Amino acid sequence: MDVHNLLRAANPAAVAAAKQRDLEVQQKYGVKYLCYWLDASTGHMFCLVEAPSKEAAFKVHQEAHGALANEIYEVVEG
Amino acid sequence: MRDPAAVDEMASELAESGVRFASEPGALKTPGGGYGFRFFDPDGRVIELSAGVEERDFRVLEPRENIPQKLSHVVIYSESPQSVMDFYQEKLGFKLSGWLGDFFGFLRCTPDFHSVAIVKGEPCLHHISFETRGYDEYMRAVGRVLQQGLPMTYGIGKHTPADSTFAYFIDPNGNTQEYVAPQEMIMDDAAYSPPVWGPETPGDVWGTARNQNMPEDPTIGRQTERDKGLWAAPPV
Repeated sequence: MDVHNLLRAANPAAVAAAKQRDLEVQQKYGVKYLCYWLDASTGHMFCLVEAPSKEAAFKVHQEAHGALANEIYEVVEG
Repeated sequence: MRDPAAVDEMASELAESGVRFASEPGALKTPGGGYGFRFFDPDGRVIELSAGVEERDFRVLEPRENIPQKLSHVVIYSESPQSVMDFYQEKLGFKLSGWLGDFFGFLRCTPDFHSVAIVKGEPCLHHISFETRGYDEYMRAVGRVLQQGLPMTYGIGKHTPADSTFAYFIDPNGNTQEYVAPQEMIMDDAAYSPPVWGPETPGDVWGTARNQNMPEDPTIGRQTERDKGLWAAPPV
C-alpha cells in the first residue's frame, strides 16, 4: 500500500488520468496497481499495489506521472 | 529529457532564439553517459539538458532513516527574477507554481511544487534542498546534522509555499543546504491557480523557527556575492 500526502488540485478526474498512466506503464516492471482511495479535501491518496518490490512500484509512478508516493508499506489483509 | 531526438529538438529551438551554447548536442562524457548539451541561462548559469543517462539502482527508504532520498529543489538569485522565470517557462517548459511578492518565484517540472525557484539578488546560488522520507525522518536528519556541529541558520519550521518544512545549514564550502520533508504535489495543472503570497505571509507557519543569520546576515559564510563563474563553461 502506498500513501500520498499533500496532493493539491487532486480532483478525481486528474487522479484517474494519472492512475490510467500507471496501468499503461506497470507491465514493464511486473507491477499491478489494483485500486486506490482518494481524500481530495486533504490531498491524501492510498494505492493498493501488487509488486515484486517497493522499488518496482516506485518506478511505475515515476515513469507514469512523477507523483511519487511518500510512503510504501507491505500490508497483509486482516 | 525523453530521448536524444527531444534533446536535438530543444537545442534547435534554443539556438533559434539566440541562446548561447556551452557545448553542442553530443555524447556526454560525464559519469552515466547519455546524450545532451549545455547552454547559458539569461544570468549566465550553465544548464545541461540530457537523455539516456544511465540510472543507478536505488532502494526505497525505510521509516526512521535519517538520510535524504532525493534532490528536492534548487533556488538561485537573479537581479531580474521575472525575466529568468519567463525564460525557464517559455524556453524550457517549466510551470509556474506561485510567487512570494515579486521577488521569489517558484517553478515545477514534475508534480512537486518546485524544482527551481528564483529570488531577487546578486546572481548566485541561494540554496540546494534535499528531501527526506517524511516528517519523522526530517527531524532525525536535522538532528544528525546538528549533532555534527553544523550551524542551523534558519529552522526548524514550515513555509507557506509548497507547505514545506525547512532547516537551513551552511556547508563547509559556505553554501546553504536545506533539509525538507516532502512538499506539495500539484496533480492538475489546469485546475491549479498559482498564488501570489503577500508580505503578511509568515515565513514559518509553525512558529518554531529561529532565524540565526539567515537570510540577512552573510557573515557566517552565506554566499551572496555575485557568482564568479557566470558566462564561463565549467570543466567537464
